[in-house]
Amino acid sequence: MNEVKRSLDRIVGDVTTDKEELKQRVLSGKRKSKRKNPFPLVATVIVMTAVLFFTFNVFQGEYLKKDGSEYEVNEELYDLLLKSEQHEIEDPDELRTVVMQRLVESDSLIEYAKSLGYLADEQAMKEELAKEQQTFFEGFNEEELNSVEQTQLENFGYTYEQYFQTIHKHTIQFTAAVEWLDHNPPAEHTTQREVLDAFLETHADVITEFMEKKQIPPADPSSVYVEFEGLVAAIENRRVLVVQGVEKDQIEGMSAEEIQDAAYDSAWFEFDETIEQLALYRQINVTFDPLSYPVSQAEQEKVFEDVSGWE
Amino acid sequence: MDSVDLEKVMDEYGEHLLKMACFYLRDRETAKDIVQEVFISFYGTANYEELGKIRAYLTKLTVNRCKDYLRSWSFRHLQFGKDWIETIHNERDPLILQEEKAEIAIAVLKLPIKYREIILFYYYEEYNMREVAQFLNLSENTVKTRMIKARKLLKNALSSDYWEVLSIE
Repeated sequence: MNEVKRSLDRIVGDVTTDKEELKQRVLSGKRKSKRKNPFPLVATVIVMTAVLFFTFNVFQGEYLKKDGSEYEVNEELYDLLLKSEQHEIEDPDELRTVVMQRLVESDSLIEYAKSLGYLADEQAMKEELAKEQQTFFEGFNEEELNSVEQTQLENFGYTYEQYFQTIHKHTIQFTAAVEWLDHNPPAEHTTQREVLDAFLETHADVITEFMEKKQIPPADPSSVYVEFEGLVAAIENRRVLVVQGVEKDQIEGMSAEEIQDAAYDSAWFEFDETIEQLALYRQINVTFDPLSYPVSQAEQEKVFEDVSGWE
Repeated sequence: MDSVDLEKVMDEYGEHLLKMACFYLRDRETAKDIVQEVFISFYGTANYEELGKIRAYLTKLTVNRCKDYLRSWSFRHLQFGKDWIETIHNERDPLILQEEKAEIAIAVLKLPIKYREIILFYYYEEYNMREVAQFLNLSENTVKTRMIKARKLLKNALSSDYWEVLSIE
């Protein structure tokens, strides 16, 4: 037996008791798994992605009204998201800014989809929410339920009921809009950044008022651009694949897909004519706008189009 | 399959599957839940005798369910229990850990999952590179690259004595 195997066996210890418990659970007919949370969807999409949409229609103001009267920031959702993200972002000012930004982003997407003709199926979403909530709770007996609710309150400061009826409901609405857009892509080439800027401009009064009320610091304009440092792994036309966590000799001969799979992290960038100065396998530091990918790529591999510099 | 057959299968493979699920999930309770699902699913398999290598089949079911769980919302947001690795670190005597050469296992279990599973199948399951690639549906090149990266991460995480042991295996 090798040392790694020996060490892993020692650390996991004796699992005989676990196995016997497991057998009892299966053989006694308790076939329903005790696992509490089998969400099939990416339920936290509103807090993990920056998916922003905007198109010609929105610029035309056909859907949105310039006075912002159609839009209202969901205060309850904002308050719960603050609690939800409190363990991820320690600085309270930064927390408020980030949560607000993500909330506006998801709202902009939903509103944008509607501007293109998306009609939310409220009944279907209601049924989906009820089904997921039922799936979540059905594995618990009363004692377990109390324990889990208590843990949830201690960790996040809100109940599962609040989670489902506010955060998850919004997530379902958001996901439905994303899926609709995936099947009904906009004709005009527009980046996520354009979407965000236009949305903020359209609803400036409402958003500003909410931010003042909640004492939300505005996002630092200098934070628009971020940096990505890595190895130039592929150059295709004007697009450059930059990867992290692998060396030249590990990726030579691989396809771009294989390289991305092997790399710790990777990103495609659209370069201008300066691409001619680039060589494969050199180290590079790219400064780019992380929202500069086309809205049509929301569900797929993104190419960042706004590269402000590299060295 | 009747319940007697199922019990035999659980006796034969239960411990192995529980361990693998623990290595993937780093949580004993969730590992039990996952393996329970695997056995329940297996119970419904009509022609299990035709499945050939049952151990590999059950391991694959377990690994896939563990990955589904790691991708799920619940894993990232519902904090039901303390991370197993954290518990080991905080609650066990450092001298005993040293004696058990736990440093290697802890370093392996702290690897990101895509590197950890390569190490698990290569060292723990003792597959060769090609078998790892086949089992995980990856290209051999990808497995090799991930192995290089995994070993680099382990080298950084382990003291030189432990790394020397690992590097010659």
